[in-house]
Amino acid sequence: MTEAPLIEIRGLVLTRGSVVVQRGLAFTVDRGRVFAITGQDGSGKRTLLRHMVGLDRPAQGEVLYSGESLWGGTEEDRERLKTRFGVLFAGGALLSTKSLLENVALHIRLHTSLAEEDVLDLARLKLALVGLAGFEHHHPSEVDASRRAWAGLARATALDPEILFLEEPTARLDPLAARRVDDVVRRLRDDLGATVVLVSSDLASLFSVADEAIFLDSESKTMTARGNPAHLRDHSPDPTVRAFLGGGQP
Amino acid sequence: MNATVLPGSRLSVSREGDLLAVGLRGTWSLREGLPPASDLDCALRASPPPRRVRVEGDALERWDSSLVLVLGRIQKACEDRGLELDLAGAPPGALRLLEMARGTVVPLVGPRREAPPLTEVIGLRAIGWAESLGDKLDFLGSTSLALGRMLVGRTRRLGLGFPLALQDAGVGTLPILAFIAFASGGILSLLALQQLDKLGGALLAPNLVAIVILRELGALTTGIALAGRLGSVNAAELATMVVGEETDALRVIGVDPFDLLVAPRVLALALMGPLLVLYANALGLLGSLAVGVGLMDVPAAVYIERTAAALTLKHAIAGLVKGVAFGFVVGMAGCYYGLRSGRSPGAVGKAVQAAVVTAVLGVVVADTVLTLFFKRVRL
Repeated sequence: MTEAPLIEIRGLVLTRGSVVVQRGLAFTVDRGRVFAITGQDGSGKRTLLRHMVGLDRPAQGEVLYSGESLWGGTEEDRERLKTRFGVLFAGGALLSTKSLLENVALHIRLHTSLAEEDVLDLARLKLALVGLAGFEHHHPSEVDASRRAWAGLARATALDPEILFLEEPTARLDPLAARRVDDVVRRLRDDLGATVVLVSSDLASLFSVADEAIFLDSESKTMTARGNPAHLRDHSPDPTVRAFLGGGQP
Repeated sequence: MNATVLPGSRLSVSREGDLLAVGLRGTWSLREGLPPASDLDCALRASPPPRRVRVEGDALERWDSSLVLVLGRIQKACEDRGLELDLAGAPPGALRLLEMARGTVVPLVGPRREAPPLTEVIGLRAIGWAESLGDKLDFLGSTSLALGRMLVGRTRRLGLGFPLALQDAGVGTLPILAFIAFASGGILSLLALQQLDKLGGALLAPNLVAIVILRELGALTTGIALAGRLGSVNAAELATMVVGEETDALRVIGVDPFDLLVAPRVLALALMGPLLVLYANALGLLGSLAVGVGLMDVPAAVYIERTAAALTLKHAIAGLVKGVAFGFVVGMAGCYYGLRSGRSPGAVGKAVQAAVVTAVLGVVVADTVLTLFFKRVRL
């Protein structure tokens, strides 16, 4: 008997209000991979992420983690499944009333029984890992957008999640900072064994870290390609996919 | 060789001469917590102290950040005590993360300063207040110039949306103001009739109530209603535009935000203020009549006659002037805190709070100043 894939999407139909955003989505994500979701603006990348992390209920279809349905069980089952995730929203989505340290520590405090000293030390370690040592007591409003994004990444990885969802982690970052994010993503995969689901339109990042990608098409409202990003760029039968991954070159 | 290994423990220590071996075993998981490190602490403090520490991870099965945290603490303890540390036995992945955390520990901010002396604190506060006052005067000056340009028609081509601003300040405020004014007039009438009745002067109550409404209550309720409704909305709208860099975009294309955003709002409020005061006066008098006749059994004809005797132009003008002033104060407070909000995520909320508090305070201060002024000029 083969092991169920870590993430499985079956016949997913995504809606925003009464509007169908994507339909017929079906794919699997294997453990220890960096899996990218990409596509044009308005194609539903973010909506798919929200459905995968349990924020929105799909109109049809299923999201399964190790064979267990995210929406099939009770609220408690769903909450238990969600403790396996770490999510970085675009821009960090930090609590503005708390310091960066408290933003990370709150997450650790809620989901572990660590002593307070250990909670704070671990939060400091997580901030140091993303280059924010010395900024522990700053509030989100006191740091720039890129540091807010870094702090969001520290919070998302605070509990070494089995699955890490990253929404546009390199948006608004300079190229060097963006490559540092890619480096952190690789470390999380290689050193901590995390599976990463990356929602991104940053081509450099896709080619650098993604093992596999799907392309969501905004016109046909479905997934039109799946494979290694570099391979799709060069060999996809869909000209839109080739043009998108080729940086606009037909 | 002394070894301390507790059954099921993930951390063990053993001493051989001047070498302290730290054994890592089993599965390390944040959700299971950190292993007790008391034996390690004791071993590091032992006398004579070890000179070398070696980490051995051969028996390690799985690990996460909890291991990196403990390795970091061992590293720190060794540095503090000047001990030689051999981490070669730790998992390479954990060492890479440890190095990454240390490598990024750059002094991004300077060391914390000692608390400054009291004189410095007072001096800095004084400078801050002076700068803030200067900024407010600058804002007032810029607004006055923009109002001037607007009144002479130099900003007509901007499409200021002035009628909309008038409608929002005027018609939009009517429902809430009606309720506040009617209720305030009724309460005032009730109290006045009750208290003056004890002195045998109940029939003076309608006169007193009418004068208070005309000179004070109508204007004050209008000011408070405008501060709550328009002060907050103006601050939120402008702060959102600042956060979204819309005001910068205006400046780039040569439009002064004071012309487009501030002057129409302030003028609309200053114009609608007195009209709203008239409306509040009418509703307040109606409320007082309803209570006086309905609850306190004063004959309607008597109440109306006594009220009408107090309705003089002098009292009405005092209230209307206050209406202009309160509208101006509310408009300035909302626009000032909106445009000076900054760009942080919490900027809009803070701007709204500051605008409403300042507008209410400003209304009360302006009321006090005008009341003293009217006394002086016998208005």
